Amino acid sequence: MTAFIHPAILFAGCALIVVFLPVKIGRWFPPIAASLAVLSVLTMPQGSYATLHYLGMTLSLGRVDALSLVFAHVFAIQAVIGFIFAFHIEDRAQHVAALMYITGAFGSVFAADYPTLFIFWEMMSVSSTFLVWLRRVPASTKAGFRYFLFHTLGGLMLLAGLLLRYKATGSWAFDAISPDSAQFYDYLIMIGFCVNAAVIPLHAWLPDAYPEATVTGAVFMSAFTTKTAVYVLLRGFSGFEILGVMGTLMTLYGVVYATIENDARRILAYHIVSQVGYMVAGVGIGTAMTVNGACAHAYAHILYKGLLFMSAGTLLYAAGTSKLTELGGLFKRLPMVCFWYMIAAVSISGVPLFSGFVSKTITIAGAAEAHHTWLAIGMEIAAVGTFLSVGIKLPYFAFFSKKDPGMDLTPIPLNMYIAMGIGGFLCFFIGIYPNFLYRLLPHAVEYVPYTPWHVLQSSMLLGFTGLGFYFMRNKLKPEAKLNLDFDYFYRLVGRLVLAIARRPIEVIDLWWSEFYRIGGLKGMLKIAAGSAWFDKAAIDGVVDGSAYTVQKVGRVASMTQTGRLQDYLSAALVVGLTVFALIWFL
Amino acid sequence: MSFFKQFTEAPFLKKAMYAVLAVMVVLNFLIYPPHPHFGAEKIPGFWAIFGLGVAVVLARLAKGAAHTFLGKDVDFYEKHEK
Repeated sequence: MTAFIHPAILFAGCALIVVFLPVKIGRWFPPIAASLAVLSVLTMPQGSYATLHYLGMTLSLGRVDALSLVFAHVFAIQAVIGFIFAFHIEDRAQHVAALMYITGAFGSVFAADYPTLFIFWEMMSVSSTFLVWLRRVPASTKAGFRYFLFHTLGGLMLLAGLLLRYKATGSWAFDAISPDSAQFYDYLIMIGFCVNAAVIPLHAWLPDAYPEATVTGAVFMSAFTTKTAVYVLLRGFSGFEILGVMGTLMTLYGVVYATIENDARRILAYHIVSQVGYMVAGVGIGTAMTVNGACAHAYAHILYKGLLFMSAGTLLYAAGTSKLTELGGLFKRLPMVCFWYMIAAVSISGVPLFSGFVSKTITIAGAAEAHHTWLAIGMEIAAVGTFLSVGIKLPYFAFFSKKDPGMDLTPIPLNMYIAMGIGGFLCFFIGIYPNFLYRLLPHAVEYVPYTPWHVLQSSMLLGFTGLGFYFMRNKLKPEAKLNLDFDYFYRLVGRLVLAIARRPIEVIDLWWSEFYRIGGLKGMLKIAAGSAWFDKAAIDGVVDGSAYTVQKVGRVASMTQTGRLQDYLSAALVVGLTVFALIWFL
Repeated sequence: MSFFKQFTEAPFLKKAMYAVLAVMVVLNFLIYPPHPHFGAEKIPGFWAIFGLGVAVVLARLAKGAAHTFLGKDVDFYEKHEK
C-alpha cells in the first residue's frame, strides 16, 4: 500500500477523534482531515489498492483510475469548504454525521466490488439522514423518516440486484455493464442507483428532505449523494439510452418546479434534480464527449451548488426563513451573501467566464453531435429555466424587490464567509481556466468553450431569458403554497400500510388481548398469589441483594432502549463499522 | 423604491440593456454557428427568440399548472394525515 491513503480512513478516524474531544477543540479536526484528503487525492497514483479476502469474497476498496479521481478530487475540495462553513457549529453530532457521510462517499467512489459499494452506500444513507434529523424540528424529523425509508428502498433494490447478479454470474466485480446484455438484475441495480441520482419519478425525497436539513447539512448533501450516484452510473451504466431520455426529462422537470416554488432551498433542491439530469443524460448517451461532459458538470456542479446552498443557508441562518414571500430587499443588509449567491447563480446558469459555461455546454454539444438533437434542445430549454428561476427569480425576490421586511438578522460567523469565498473563487477560476478541469477528465477533451459562437449563443440565450423575466415578473411572483410532487404517492403507500396495520392487525391484537384478559390473567393471578406467599416466606432475603444488581443493570440497559429509531440506527451503524474495521485489519 | 427598481426603471439603463440585446442579435448576422446542430440554428437571432419564448411559455405553463392542480395550502399534508 504505497502512497495510497484511503480518504475514507481520514474522515472515519477524524469522526472518532471528534466523538471523544470537547467540541470546541474537536471542530478544528474536520477541516484538517479534509485538507489531508485533498493531499491524499492529489498524490495517489492510479492502480488497485486495499484488496482483502473475506468469506471467500475478494473485496477491493481502492480502485484509483481517471474516473474515480475526478470525483474524489472535487469531493475532497468540497469537504474542505463544507467543514469550514460548518466550523461554528457546537453540536458534535452534526460534525460526526457529516464526517461519516463523507466517509461513505469516498468509500463508494473507490469501491471496485458490489459488497464494498453497498456497505459505504448504506453508510451514506444513514448518516445523511442524521443531517436532516439534527435540525431538531418536527418537520425535519418527519422528512428524515421519509428520506430514510425511500433510501432504504433504493438500497434494497441494489442489494437484491447485486445478490441475483452474483448468483447468475459468480462475480462481485463492479464494472461496466453492456446495454445489449443487461439482465433484469442489472436493471435492479440501476434502479437502486437511480434512487440516489434522483431520477424522476424516484426523485421526490430530494426536494422533500434537503430544505428541512440543517443549514450546513444541506451543503454536504447537495454535493455527495447525487454525485456519487452519477459516478456509479458512469461506472456501470454508460450508454443505456433510457438514461439519456430520463436525464433530459429531469432537467425539464426540475426547472418547472423551481419556477413555482417559494422556499429558496427547495428551489435549489429542484435544481439539483435538473442539473443532475444533464449528468444522467450524459451517462445515457455514453459517447466519450458526453461522459466527459457528465464528469465535468458533476465537478462544476458540486462547487456552485455547494455555494448556492451555502448562501441560501446563510440567508436562512441570518433571517430565520428561506421563504421568498417572507424575504425581500435584503441586498443592503446582506451585500456579501448576495454577491456570493450571484457568483453561484451565474455559474449554474452557464454565463461565460463562470464554471457552468465550460461544463454544461460539453454535454449539450455532445448530445447534438451524437445526433440526439431533441435531447440537446430539451437541455437548452432547461438552461433557460435555470437562469429564469435560480439566476433571476430567486435573487430578485430575496434581495432586490419589495421592501426589506425588517426582521432582526442573526450575525453571520466569519467562517461562513470564508467558505463562500473559496467556493466562489473556484467557480470563477474554473470558468476562466477550464483546463484545470479538463485535464482531470477521463477522455481527451477536444471541446473548446471560448469560441465567438459559443459565447454569443449563450449570451443571447441568457440575455433574452432576462427579457422574458422582465415581461413576466408579476406572473412569477412567488406564492406561499405547497406544490404536489411524487411524494404524494409515496405518502399514499405509507397511509395504505397504516390502514392495513389499523384494520386486520389491530383486530387480531384486540382479540388476543381479550383472550388474555379473560383466560390468562385469572390463572396468572392465582399463581401469583401462591408464589407471593412463598416469596415473602423464604426468598426475600436471598433475592434482595441480587435484585439490586439486576436493577442497576436494567437501568443501564434501559438507557439504550430509548424506543427511538434514530438511536437504534446509529447504534447499528457503529456496530456495523466496528465489525467492518475488524475484518479489514485482522 | 427598491434598489432593483431604481436600476431597471432608470430610463438610461433600461435603454442600455435593450441596446445590448439588440447588439447581440446584430452580431449574430456576422457570427454564425460553424457546425449548426439543426437547421433553425442558422437563422440569425434564433437563440434570442428561443430564450425569450421559452422563458415566457415556461412561466405561463408552470404557473398555470401551479394554479390549477399542483398548488395546495401549506398545511395540505398535515390536514390529510389526521
